[in-house]
Amino acid sequence: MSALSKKFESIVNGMNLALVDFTTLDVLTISGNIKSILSKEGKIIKPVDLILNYDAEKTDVRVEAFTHVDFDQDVIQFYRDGIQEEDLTYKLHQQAVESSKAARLGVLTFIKEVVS
Amino acid sequence: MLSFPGLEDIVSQDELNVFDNGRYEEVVQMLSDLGYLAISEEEGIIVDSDQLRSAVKAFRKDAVRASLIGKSGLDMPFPDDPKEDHEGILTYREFSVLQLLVSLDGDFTLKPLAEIRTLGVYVRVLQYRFHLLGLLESHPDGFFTDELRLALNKLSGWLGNVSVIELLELTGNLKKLIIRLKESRAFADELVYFRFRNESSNRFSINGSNEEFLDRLKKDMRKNSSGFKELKLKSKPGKYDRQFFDDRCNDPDGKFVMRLLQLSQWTSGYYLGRIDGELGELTFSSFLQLAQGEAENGNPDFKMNLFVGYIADDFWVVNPHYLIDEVKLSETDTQVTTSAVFESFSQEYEQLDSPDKEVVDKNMRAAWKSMNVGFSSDLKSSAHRFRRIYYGARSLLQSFWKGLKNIFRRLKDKVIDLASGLLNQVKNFAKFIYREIREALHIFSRGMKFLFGSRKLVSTDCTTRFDFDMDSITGSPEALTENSLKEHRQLLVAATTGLTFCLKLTGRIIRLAVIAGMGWHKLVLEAGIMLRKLIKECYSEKEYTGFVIDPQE
Repeated sequence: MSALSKKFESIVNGMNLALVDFTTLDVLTISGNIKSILSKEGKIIKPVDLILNYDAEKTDVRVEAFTHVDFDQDVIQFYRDGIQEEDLTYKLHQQAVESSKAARLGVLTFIKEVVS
Repeated sequence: MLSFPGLEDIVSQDELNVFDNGRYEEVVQMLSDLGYLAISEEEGIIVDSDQLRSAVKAFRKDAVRASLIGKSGLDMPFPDDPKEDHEGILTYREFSVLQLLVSLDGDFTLKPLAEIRTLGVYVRVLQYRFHLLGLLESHPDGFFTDELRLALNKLSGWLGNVSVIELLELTGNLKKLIIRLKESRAFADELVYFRFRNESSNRFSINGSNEEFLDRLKKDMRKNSSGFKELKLKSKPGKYDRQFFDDRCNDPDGKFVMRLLQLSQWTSGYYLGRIDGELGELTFSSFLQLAQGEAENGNPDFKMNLFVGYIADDFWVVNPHYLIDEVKLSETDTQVTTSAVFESFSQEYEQLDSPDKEVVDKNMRAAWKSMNVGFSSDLKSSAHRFRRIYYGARSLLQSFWKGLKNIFRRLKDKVIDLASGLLNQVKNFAKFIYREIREALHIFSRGMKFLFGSRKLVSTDCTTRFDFDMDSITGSPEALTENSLKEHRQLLVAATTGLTFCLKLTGRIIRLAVIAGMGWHKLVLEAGIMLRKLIKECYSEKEYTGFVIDPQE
């Protein structure tokens, strides 16, 4: 086996697919001190963990919108009070949802190709 | 820039840099061909970044209107330095649509006139074709003008009984068009006269060492052809009529036929010059290369001296009928596909031992580099500004297919002299193979970067971070502005448009590499083959033809 294929094999093995949840999709849009959430290299906070531990009184991060797509495609959407469809934040969140869906489809296709 | 996160210690940047060439120039030429871009007349400058941005924007708008690409393309960002960041100029899909539009191999058929008249991109395609044929003086602008209508009528008149649909099809299928024109009454007697100073004139003298020319011409033309009689009579020693040949050199029909021959040479990869209907050094040498190429491809019967004849002074004559018949322009082998050429090359390559593989790789890289350097510097020089590289596939494919073994033998030569014009076949082959590989590797690179890179998209005010399972968190300022939203949307769209296609190919490449345990050089060839197969799966049963829209876009 070539060095290249060994490398690919280790990359595939390192993906830890068993630990990844593809059944649901969570998309979160926040404002405020976003650096505390998004700038930490290496450590990735799951949207759902942030929501579950969210306490508006104790944090300088504000949840603007949250979308949860269930395995059966049921969708739950949350928007902060006062956000309207014409608001820019609403549009940003909608784009993030669309992009996450497109990316999810891509990753599932990738996995299907690799493991089939 | 081409890179693969996680593979830095396996594949050197030098190996990858080879595949970072040619895309910018190709995009510039294709947009210019369709009139979206005016190439600067100034020496050294091809086009500035803002002009290119506007051209891409105009093309996208037109292509969306014509349903050739999805609307998401309109939100795509444009790179600050397009020459460096050439991947970001167009999506892969847009790039392949452009390639299809400028092809003259019959890969793209225009819709009936009533439907295309109001769709700028289709009108431009038609204008581009007529402009190349020299029947339309103005550059493509997307407007269905009287000049275009006249050009259509003129061609239709030459071809005789032809429907509008067939006429549109013929304009995009050069070989078929040339055959039809050759058979038409308008060109049955046509000979092409030209002035040309060349040291080899004695070798081609029709009243000296090259009497065969007239014998062959007699067979190729009608028995009582006035064209043949005139040539024979006016060129006879003692009866030589200089004025007659002088006049014939300015015959517009003759120039049109020469233009057709140049176009044929261009699409077969022999001619990299202006398409102007004038025979000069480049055109003449392209015919010499064709003769050499035909001999190498197993057609030793094609002889240059039966195709061109020297008369006297600087006057020459061309027998276009001979060339069209002998190089079998009508031949369309449907079995010859990009995949077939790739697979044959890959099989030949596999049979080599390691040192020979290295020689082939080295020579392929050198040929590709030489071709790109030449084209890039030609575009910079105003003297050569309108030289063109043909980016279609089918004509080139047939040319390779006939002589693939021979090309391979040449690539195995230890030292390959790329300065020699006779190695055009090798250069064209490297261009063909490496261009496909380049596209496959760029798609693969994008997939690897998305999967194993940071998956963090940062614009001026917003950030989005994706998990491996594509849950995402987007952070924005509390007072989001229109500009910030637009910028971040563009980033998100750019990251995810066409991602499924890209990750599908990435998955296949990784799987094959793991299962077959192959090294880098074999893998890049396989990547080219896989890309071609994937395009066929996604877009059509046949290669290119019947192009349909990917529903994901």
